[in-house]
Amino acid sequence: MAELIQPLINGITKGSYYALIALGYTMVYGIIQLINFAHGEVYMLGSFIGLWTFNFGATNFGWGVTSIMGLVTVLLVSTALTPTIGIALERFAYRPLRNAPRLAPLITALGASFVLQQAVAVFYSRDFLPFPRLFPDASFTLAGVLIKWLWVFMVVVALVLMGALAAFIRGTRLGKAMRATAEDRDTARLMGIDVDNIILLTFVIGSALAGVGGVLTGMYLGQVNFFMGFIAGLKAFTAAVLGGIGNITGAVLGAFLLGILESYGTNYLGGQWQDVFAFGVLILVLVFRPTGLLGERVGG
Amino acid sequence: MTATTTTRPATTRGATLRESVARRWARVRLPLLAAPVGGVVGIVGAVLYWTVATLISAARGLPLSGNLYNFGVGGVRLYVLLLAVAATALGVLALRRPALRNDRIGRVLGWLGLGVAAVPLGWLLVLELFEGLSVSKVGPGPWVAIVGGVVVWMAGRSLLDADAPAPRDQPWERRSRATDVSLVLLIELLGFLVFFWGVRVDDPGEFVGYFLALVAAALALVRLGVLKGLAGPFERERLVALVAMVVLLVLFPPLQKVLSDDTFWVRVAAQAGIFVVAALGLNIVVGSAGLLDLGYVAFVGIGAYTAALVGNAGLARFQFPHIPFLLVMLILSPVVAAFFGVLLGAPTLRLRGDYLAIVTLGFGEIVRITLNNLDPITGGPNGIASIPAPALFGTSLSDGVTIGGLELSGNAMYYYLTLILIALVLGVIYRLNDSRLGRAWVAIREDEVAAAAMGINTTITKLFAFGAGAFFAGMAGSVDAHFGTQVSPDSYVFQISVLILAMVVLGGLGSPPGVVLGAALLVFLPEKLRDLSDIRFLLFGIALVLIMRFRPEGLLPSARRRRELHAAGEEAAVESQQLYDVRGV
Repeated sequence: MAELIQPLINGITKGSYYALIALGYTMVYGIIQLINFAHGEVYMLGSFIGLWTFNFGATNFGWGVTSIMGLVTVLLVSTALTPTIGIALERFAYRPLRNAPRLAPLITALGASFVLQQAVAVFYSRDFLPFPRLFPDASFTLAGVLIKWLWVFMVVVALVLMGALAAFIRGTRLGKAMRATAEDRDTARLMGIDVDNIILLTFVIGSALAGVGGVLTGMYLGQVNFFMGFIAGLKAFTAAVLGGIGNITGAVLGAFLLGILESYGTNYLGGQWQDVFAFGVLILVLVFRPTGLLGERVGG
Repeated sequence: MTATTTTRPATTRGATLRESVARRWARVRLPLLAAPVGGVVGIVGAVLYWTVATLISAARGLPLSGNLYNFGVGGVRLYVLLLAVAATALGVLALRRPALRNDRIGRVLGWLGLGVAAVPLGWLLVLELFEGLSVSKVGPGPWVAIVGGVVVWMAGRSLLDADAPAPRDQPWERRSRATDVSLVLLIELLGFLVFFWGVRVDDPGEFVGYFLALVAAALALVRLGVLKGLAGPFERERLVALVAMVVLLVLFPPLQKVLSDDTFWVRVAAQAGIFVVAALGLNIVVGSAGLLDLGYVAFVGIGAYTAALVGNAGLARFQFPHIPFLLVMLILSPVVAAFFGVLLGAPTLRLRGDYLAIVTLGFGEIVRITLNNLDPITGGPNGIASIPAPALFGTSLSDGVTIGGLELSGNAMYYYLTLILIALVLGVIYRLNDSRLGRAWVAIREDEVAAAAMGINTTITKLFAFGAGAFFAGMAGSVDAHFGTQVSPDSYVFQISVLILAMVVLGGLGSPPGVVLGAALLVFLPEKLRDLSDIRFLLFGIALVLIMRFRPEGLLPSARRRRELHAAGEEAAVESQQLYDVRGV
């Protein structure tokens, strides 16, 4: 019984950070129909910003590993700084191409992703770097299933942020403006909505969530690497597609589902096939239900 | 300026000395004087000594190329000198002929000036950053040249608001067949010599100088309208141009052999040839049909592994019966790759473009991981090693041959093989582009809904593009497996997909000559700039972003593409010029 449930728990944990990244993909796609390839890199930079913040705090304020002060600061700094990357991307890479043929921004996104990734590799490090376990390494057992408190924390953070985002989009004027822009940009502009700022806001929110995701992943995996954004970004995108791209709830649902599927898949097929499994799911979903689980947008 | 002269009451006869001097100055125009003066300063900078002694590069343990510590023109100084002489000549001409004081000459001068300044700057940067030499050991030459270049550039800028708008560039008219032919031959020979010179420049600092000078000169020539003009003779004498180019390309290995006994650059050229074949295949998918394929290298990998498995590899876990190389290269590898292309394409091609990009990316990863995990057949992470050179006409390709006392190395043989392959592929591609299928691809790229409405079966047509792209990828892969003597999953990673994409985008989406140029550039440049190999992919990323932003049609765009991308802008510019004089546009 415990062997059956353990992958579920692991999958839900993984799903929590997939969800945080997938939200950024799905929001940007929903609003400007662009696959922001560089989003995975924003998430990677979130991890690195967390690492740098911790290193700074450790040398200057004597933070130890597992310091609550450190945890809160690292999370806040990463959330505050990643949006600047999102803004820079939107402002300098995507906005000038908003009316170009569709291929152009896609290739630009790819190039931007390369630039961010390689900038870290060239100017900082190509190695796997240990990430401090800021969260207490405590765990408990429930009916034979091991659960770490960190995992609980990750899932709670992801769910709370998702709830806050949903409330923001449903309930505020800015949220309404975002929905309007996603639905019809030109009409939204006619209604007096500053479309450019709304798009910028989308990037800001998406990047901030990716920043949180980056720090949580760092603690979860215990290491970070300049290349981590590529696979994680791809999987988060899979999650977004699985749930129905452009749909916020769908992205979160898809992320948890993908995490769980992958976890069971790894259990029964072996770890080396883990990524094949995820991309296989992506292809199958796109072939048989391109709208995803909750999506209304038609893919074909 | 004009406002003050018109409002001032005309003093006419009783003009003071000061006013007449001022009027004379206005006629001479100080900025015009600045161009030749800056050019001369550049020449002086080039000829002055650049280093205080023979500097030994700390990174390579070798002296810098060329005699840089005397008055003279050794090494990198030659490029500065050439650009500065051109700037001076043009400056003098502009000073003497008012007709030349226009926008166009201003821009040409601007690029020449930038070149004169950029060459020494680039050289200094390489010295400081990659050669472990301090810039403080540098003589006055480069600094003087930089000053001269900046002066020329500023002189050029000041001409930009000249009243006469530059005439529109036209292809040159035919004078006589002889002038056309000799022009074509001359230009091709010159291009080949410039390329050959570049291959022989070893010193990284000098190479950066050479490259920057080349870029500046090319941009200046484009502004002069020379490139557009040359299109005339080249169009009319297409056959002569083609034959001459083939002859020059065939001559490359023997020339290398005679001038230096080293076949390294021939090997690089062969590698470039393999990439050209792959890039031409991707160009069908991305350039012609407009489908973004981000896992393209998977097909190259499939072709390579196919060739390795039937190629008598010494270190294979599993050996299929041996199949002659020509059959593998022309049929088996391409067909296997195309099969996988169709397998992937059939279910996914009805997806919208950006979904397709992500699916192909995922497919690329699936192939790589599968190659990595299918140990018993693919040899796992180690891949398949010791793939022997294929035997063609009874001799092993890597042994080379001797024709008429001239030894041709194995690398040269691979080079010739890729040349033949490229010729073949280009022939197929040009036939395809003019076919019903090729036109259907372009129609789909431009507007899928409209294409479907015109009766094109979009799914089948896209599938053909995907299959054709994978076909050529498999071909490139089969040669690559033998050429590199081994295959492993590490060779067929996402970065290489992006590299091939960058070749297509840089050269010009949908333009075969551009793709050939892009592929050659992106293979040769990293080999030349080995010191920069760490930041290679960073530079590719930056290049992709910048090209999409500033020159989405690439270096050598296809005529159709250029019209599409610029039609709206140019018409608007012409229109606004007629309505009111737009300065500096």
